[in-house]
Amino acid sequence: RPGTDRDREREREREPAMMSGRPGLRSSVRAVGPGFAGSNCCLSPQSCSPGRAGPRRPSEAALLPGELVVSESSNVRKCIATDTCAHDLYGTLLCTNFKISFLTNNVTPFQKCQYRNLLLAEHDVALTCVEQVVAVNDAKKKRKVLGPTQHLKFKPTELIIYCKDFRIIRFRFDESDPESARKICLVIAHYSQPKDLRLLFGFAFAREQSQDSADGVNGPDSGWQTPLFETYSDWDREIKRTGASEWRVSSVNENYTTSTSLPEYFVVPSSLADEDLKQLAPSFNGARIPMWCWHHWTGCALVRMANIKPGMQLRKHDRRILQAIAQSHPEKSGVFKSDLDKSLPRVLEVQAALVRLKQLCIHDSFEETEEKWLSSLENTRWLEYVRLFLKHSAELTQWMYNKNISVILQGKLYIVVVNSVWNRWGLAPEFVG
Amino acid sequence: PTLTFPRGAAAPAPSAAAAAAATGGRAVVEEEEAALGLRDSQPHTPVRSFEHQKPGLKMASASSSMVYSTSTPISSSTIKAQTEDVPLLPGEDVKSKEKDVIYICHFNGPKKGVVYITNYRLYFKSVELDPMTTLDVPLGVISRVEKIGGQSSRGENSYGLEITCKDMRNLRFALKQEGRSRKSMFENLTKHAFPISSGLQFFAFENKETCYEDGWKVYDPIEEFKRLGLPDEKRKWRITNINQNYELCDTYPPILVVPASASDDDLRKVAAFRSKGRLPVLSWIHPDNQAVIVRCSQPLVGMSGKRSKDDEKYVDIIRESNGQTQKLTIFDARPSVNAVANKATGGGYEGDDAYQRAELIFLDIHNIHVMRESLRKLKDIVYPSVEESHWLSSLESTHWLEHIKFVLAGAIQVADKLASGKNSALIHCSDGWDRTAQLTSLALLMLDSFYRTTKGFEVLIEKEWLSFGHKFATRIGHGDKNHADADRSPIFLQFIDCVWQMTKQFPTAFQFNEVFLVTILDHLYSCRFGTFLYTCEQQRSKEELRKRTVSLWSFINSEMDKYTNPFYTKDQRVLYPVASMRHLDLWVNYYIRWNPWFRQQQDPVQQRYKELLVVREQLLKKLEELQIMDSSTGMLPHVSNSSTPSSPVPVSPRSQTTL
Repeated sequence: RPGTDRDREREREREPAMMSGRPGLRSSVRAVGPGFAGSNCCLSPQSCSPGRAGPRRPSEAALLPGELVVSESSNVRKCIATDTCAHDLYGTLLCTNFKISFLTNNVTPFQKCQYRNLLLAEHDVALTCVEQVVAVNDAKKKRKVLGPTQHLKFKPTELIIYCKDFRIIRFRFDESDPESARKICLVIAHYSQPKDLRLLFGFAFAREQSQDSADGVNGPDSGWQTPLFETYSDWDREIKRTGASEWRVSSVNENYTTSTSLPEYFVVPSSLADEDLKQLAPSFNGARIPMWCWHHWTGCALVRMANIKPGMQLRKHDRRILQAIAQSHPEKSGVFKSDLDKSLPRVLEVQAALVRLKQLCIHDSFEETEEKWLSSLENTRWLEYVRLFLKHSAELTQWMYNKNISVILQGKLYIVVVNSVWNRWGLAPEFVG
Repeated sequence: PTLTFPRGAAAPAPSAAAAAAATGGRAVVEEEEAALGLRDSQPHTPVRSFEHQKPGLKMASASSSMVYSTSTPISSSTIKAQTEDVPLLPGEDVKSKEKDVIYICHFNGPKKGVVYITNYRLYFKSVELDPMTTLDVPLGVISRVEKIGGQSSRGENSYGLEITCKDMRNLRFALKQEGRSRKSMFENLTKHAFPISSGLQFFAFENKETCYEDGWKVYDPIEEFKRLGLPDEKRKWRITNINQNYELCDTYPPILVVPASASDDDLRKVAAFRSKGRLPVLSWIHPDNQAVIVRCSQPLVGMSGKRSKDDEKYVDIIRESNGQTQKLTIFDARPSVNAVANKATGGGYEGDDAYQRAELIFLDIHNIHVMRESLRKLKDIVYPSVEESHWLSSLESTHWLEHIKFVLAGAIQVADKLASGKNSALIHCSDGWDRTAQLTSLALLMLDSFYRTTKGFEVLIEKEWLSFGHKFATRIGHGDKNHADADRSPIFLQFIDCVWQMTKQFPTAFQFNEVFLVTILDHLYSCRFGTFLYTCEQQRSKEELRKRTVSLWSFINSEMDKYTNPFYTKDQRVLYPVASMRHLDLWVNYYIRWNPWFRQQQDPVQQRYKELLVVREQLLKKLEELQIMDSSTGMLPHVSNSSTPSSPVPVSPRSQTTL
């Protein structure tokens, strides 16, 4: 079966990382390179630090290095059920530069075999998870969506936080100090919508960490580490691991001189010299020249690239690329080019489907959607898109695994939303791998 | 030497790969066989390969499994057929053989081959050997055989037979227009697939297979009542054999549990006021709060609104027996409209004025005709092809999952009344053998962890379905050619689907696995075992099923490993599944199992499960040893080997499965 051995191999590779999930924050998660999915931010019950379950006051809030409490409000009520306040919890709401935290005496009893998030406690929400912050005053029937730098003229009685992960969290301020309530609403709105990505907590955390220890941000050097594919050697090792002998690491993009969106080092067919690449780059959208992702031991490779700009050179360059990739195949066999723009939904369509899914799952009333649940779910098209991605990935796998033919993924949308395209392209190699 | 390979024999590897290796690399495509690894329940693959290639090896493995082998002499026709490669059970004979038949496979195209019809199965074997296609269908699953095409029809493969099956598939065969082969195949199929219509007997009576477990001993009503603590300490309930000769109620079992203060005479009067004489009798009693589940049929109220003082008093005694609450809840499984409509035919429901201290709840579960229609629509969208576009809305329009939801939701209400409300519950529908059986058995599964073990589940089926007279013969139409009979309905299948939904939501709470459920459904139709034949205990004892047939539980319990869930952890808490469309799934491994594109890669998973079971055994043994060491030194406290909490706390899927 395709990939079974590789999967097992990967499992083995991941194991040491799981083992290092000890208390302390250095084993935290970093972005992972292609083919290395999964995160290990869960901590097994055995390794949980004791004493965290008892009643806590703000001063006792568990803070990460570099984390600061910005604002807090006491006697806040967290709403648990929508139809009754019988299960509501009282506690202190606070906002740090990393998370929104709710400290309560009422902690869910810790169960055997249950895993606990290492970074976030039961009632914590990371600021980056917040999608929308809404302040409400029942008496005045006012409701305001809070932007990053807004004023709030009314006294909020309720704060509703809509999260990216489909949660809606409600806090009530009936018994808390109105000023502190108003302030914490604004602070949460401000900190969850940073104007500059450099204000994200990760940077403060990394600074603190690098001062703190000689081990570097990425944890102690002992044992296995996730390759970040930022260095020449990471790619070189990957070529050797997969046995892609007809491919080489190119430094043509050192200091991002060729393309600002490609990494500094990447893998190209051995038959293309750096000079060739420089010459080809301008004819690709975003100068995103073909870049190797993965190699099957039988010889076929998975390659990704942007569309070639229309013009006189299009055909010539296209042929050149195909030839070079075919040359890197031990059997010099043909290449299958997959036009992702044609076979997959557009980024905006996927986004719209997610919005519809969210609407269905968290906004629409339960009773109404229950009756027509299946057709409503179908109408969001989310599952259809998931199916298309899987189906297409499976087809590409067939080309490589059954026919031993190299595959090129080609698409054009990355310029619009670089991030989304990374996700979109990231999907296919993941499944092929 | 016996040529029949004993079922479950240890040595020959059952996997297709091993068989292929033994036959010199020839790939064997086990076409249309149960996708869930059921193929090793059939002896043919290993037999054939070893017979051809390594006779010595075959002998060795046959002798090493003496335990399973049968001492019954095998008839000459059996031996003859064996040489022709048809797998046969002891007692099974080849009745006809048709050559040059084309099996029109919906997935892999037409295959030419030979069809054998025995008294148990239809067996097709392709002429082509690489890949070889075989088709092995118990005749019991056939609901209809039709001729397609006439002498004048042209076009390739347009002349032949279309076979409609009860297990979500159709089979089509093309035959030559010349000769009498179609007539002969049609007649033989009709004769042996519908033995009751053609004056023959079920194969179960001819089946001579033997198992080393006796499944007929699985359920003993007295034992089961004892397990439930009956008769109870306070003497509120008594066990009676008033129905010994099926005179009180001909569709009830001989032994019943009734309120102690109701006299035999009272019982007769109450029975007279209930449809088909199915008076309220105890089904289950809560070990702690003594709340009970009582089942019966509808009261005979009729248009005139008749009342029975005896019935009212009897229901009140049931209410009083509880002692903790003043209320009794009556669950009428039907939609209220249907309950009212039943008055026209003499039935009805318990009115407020007559039964003042009971609350009546309608559970809105539709009748057998609605369920049959729903399954028919489901079959339309899953066989032979599955349309990808608009799949979910097509599924929704069958309403199959919606009906599942109502059945589950009803059972949850019953379980909750007993566990949280400490109320007793009286359950009925119209006759108390379809929806009532679904509700009581599902509620019992939620309340009592015993029924979640493999043997407990067998007891549950024996008790709530078989002994209380679910009309299997009529609902399934065993051996009857009348395929359009309006009394047929997939009520039991619906129940098994609900159980499957529960196993999905509580993956560690059940001792049995999916293969177990599929096997039960396969033999619901196969007529190989006596278990699901006939409609009630009276008929079964008349036919001497226990003496003359093998029980399905004998077959299953002789090979328990195959049906065991490696993740099972005993948990005595009450299970509350979520009965919401959001949490119900279509049981693809059952309903779409004939489509090879939907077949999940089961074999490696099954293999892994088996390995896990071995590891689990070893660990439990080690734990036991350590405990013995502990207790002998007396140094360390006793360690319990299960995570069972001492007090039963209800559990919802989320709290159980959160990691």
